[in-house]
Amino acid sequence: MAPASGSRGAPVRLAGLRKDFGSSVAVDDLSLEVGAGEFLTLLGPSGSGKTTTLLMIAGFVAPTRGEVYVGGKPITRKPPHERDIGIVFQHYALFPHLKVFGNVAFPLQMRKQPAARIAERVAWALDLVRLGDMGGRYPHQLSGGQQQRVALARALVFEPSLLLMDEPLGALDRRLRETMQGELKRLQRSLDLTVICVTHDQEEALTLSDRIAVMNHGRVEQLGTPEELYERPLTPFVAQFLGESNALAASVLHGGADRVVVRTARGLEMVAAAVAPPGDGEVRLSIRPERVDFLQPGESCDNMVDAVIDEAVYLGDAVRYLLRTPTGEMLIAKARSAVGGGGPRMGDAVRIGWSADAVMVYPATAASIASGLPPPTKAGEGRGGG
Amino acid sequence: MSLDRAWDSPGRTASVVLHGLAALVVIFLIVPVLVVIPISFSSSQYLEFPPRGFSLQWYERFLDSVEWTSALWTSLQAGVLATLLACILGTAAALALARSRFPGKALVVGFLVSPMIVPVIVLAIALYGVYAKLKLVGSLAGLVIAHAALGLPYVIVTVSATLQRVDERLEHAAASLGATPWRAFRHVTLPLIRPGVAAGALLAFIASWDDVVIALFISGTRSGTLPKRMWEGLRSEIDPTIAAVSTLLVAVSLALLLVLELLRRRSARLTGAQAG
Repeated sequence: MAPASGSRGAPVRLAGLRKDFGSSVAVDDLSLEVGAGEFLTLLGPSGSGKTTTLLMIAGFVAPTRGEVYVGGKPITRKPPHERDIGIVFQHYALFPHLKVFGNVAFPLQMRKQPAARIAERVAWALDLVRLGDMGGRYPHQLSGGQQQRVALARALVFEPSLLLMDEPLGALDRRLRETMQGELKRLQRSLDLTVICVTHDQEEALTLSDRIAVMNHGRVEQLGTPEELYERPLTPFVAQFLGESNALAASVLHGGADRVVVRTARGLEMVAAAVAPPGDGEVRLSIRPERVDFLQPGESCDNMVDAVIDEAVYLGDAVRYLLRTPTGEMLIAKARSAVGGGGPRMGDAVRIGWSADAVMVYPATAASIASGLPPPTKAGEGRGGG
Repeated sequence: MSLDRAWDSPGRTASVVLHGLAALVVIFLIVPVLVVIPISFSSSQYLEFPPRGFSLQWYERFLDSVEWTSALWTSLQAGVLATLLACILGTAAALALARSRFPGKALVVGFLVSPMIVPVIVLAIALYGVYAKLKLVGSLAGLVIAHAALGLPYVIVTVSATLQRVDERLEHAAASLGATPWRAFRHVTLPLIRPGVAAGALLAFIASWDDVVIALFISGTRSGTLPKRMWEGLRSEIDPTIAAVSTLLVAVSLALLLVLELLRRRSARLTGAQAG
């Protein structure tokens, strides 16, 4: 293979992967497919099983059950060094006693390639990450961003069929992260790499991934494109974990073919698009703050309510408002900041509104982030008024 | 000001007393050793201090005597081979203890470092009993094995301490890059723990070099080590050759300790650079 042609990623399939640690289940019957050349992110809080999943793919943790396929072949029983999987570790795990060249040459030396070929490949890999002139430095002489790129070059130089990344940008400062996100995406596209990335950082997941698998308690809550996950989260957990969300407990007053009317515990009524038949019991609602608009006089909307601004936090590109309705419901709204400042201020009485489509309705039994949602309301309270 | 002075003057007195005591302790420890050195260069026929005149005759006699040189040769052989054995086994044991979990691990650690804790005389008697049955008494192999056991705890302790500073993820990284467990050890772990192995090796060598008790029990008349030969020499022919040999022993130990200190500084500098 010519050096410039780069590697072609292989498809990956996880079939019924499970890992028990004693009596606790770290990963529970995980099945998913990653296409060749796809960037898939496992996103979840710590303890969700994402890192264990990565370690099982890499071969450092033996699954209790299930199989890992790379390029259609089962690799579950192969030791790590025979798997041909590149890994970018958290904090990079560069060899401190070897220079940059030695680090990047390491996988080729392990494969007993001739010296000329090694020199050529290392030069290619270092050029790839724009560190062509850094081969003679030791890792501790490099900045965090440069170390990250050396780790990437080392993981790519032997043209692995799959690249795994564990919180790849976690140790970098914000500006560097944004640059590296761009570079990573460019590399992944141009080399047609299959990448499985683990992170708890939703922004990293949204910007890098073709698809995201949101994990919770060892299971995949939802698998989809960043847009699908953000716009149509299937569970309140996903709605809460990816972006911000107003989470409300409510009960259904009357349902229609495509619309339902719901009332929150505090008595705020609203129309919602019925995506899934919620039945007639308790439900959870989720509304994105940026879908809540300030209405001009005369303007109308599916759902409208008067509110007082309790708090306004200026974020630069946007302003985040905490709004109190007459019934005491607290809602978060996010609006683009006005040109030259201005806009509603703390203490102002405003009229807000949101469309029925902006209200996502879930069964009350759906899992949620423990602290993210208010406790379920007592059954009698919601219905009492209706 | 007055508060400063109130603190200062008793502090200064205490400091003078403390330094004086420390100096006395050092003198007490070192003078007997230092006395031996001038005696070894004495032109007198007897062990006497202060020595009369200067001569290298006792060093000459040492080098001319087959008894002494063969003892030196035995000591060197036993020391080097025992150190090698202790390093290989000790490094392997330290790796196993650091990188795996198994029931009874604390017990195994205690067992492995026991030669450092058990009185040497007890170890020597036990070894003699076992060696008598195995017909190892008087053999170089027996001496090497016994001294390796003596040095093993030092290697385990120093290598374990170094291993704690080596991130296990580096070994994972090596494996993911295609290194077999042996090559990952050879190319990644070993270079990183080398200062610990070297320190353990020096201490193990000194343990063997200085040992007289075990050598007395298990080395035969022909395969005696230098300290054993000295012990025997002191009882029969008291002459300043003993002082010359002592000076040589001290010089070797001192040189090795200097090397150890240099290694320690170098490793501290390297890890410091890594942290920065």
